[in-house]
Amino acid sequence: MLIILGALLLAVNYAVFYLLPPMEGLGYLSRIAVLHIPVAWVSVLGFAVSAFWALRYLRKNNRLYDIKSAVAATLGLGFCIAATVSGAIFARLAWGSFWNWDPRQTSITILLLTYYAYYGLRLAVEHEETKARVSAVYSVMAASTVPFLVFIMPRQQFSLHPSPVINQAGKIHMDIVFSIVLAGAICFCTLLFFYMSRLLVQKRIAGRKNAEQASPREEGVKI
Amino acid sequence: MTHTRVLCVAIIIVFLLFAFVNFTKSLTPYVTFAQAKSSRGSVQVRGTIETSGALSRQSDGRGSILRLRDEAGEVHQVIYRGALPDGVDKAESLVVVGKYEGSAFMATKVLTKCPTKYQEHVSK
Repeated sequence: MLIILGALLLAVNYAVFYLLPPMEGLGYLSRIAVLHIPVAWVSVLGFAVSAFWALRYLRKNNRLYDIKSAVAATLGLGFCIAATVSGAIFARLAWGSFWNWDPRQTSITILLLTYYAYYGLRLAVEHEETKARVSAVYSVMAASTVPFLVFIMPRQQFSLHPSPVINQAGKIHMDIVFSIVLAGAICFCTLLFFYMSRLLVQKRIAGRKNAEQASPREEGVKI
Repeated sequence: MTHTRVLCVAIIIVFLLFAFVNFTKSLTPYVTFAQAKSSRGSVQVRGTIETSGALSRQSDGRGSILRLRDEAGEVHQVIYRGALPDGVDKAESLVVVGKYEGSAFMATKVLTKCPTKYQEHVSK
């Protein structure tokens, strides 16, 4: 897995710096898009995966699903922060301002706050099972806002943000080399997401087991 | 079981509608010149450069004067003390940040929306 990730990372980096032609209007600035678009995609993926495992948890009551849901939401938040920062830098260079409360920026702020609150919720509830149930419900609710904040609202209003990769007309205004490099970057980020979630889930399970051995009277982990 | 499920779906739908209606109302920071005149603080006006007429864009030595047509169709003068960004001539639309003073809009920032197409730049 690590070898595939490393190879992809090298390939994408090589392509970004040596193969990508300067783009119409943006010039070499378009390189940032190769980071910005995949990272934003993975943050949406993370929130969706979190909601998926949250629903599974509510059905099956299996703690493992709660861990998976929490890890996916955490990674989604991380990637969302990365998308915001890379977006702000991109905006500074392409529009002229790091932050001017463009609809895109406002909606991503709401999204960030929504998932910070998820984190706060998890830390606030102490009882394990209550925590898992409450945060599972929250995760589903939070994920249901994502389509509105990420896909619908910014398309309805004027924004300095360019029309998204797949725009209303369904046309993809994209150079073939750029599309291939972007696809590679998206594969890399998606694989990285699943690899990181596996590691984090394993780490949390190990942490639980240690805690259990330290105080054996506590309710066992149902995995 | 079905009752709770229906209730859950209803709650989610109501929540989404509420969120959608409320957020869209307050989401956009861009106003028209008429609104800019009546507000005291710094605002953002969006529009396109007015190309018809002689003085579409000129420089008076200390900065630039633009004629901007806002969403409502009104054309106003915008004064900007500073170097205009490169993309101004190619921009699909422009956003000026600042406030209305006297007979012109004094911009502190000029932001550009460029037609981003991720297509290779062909030098002419």
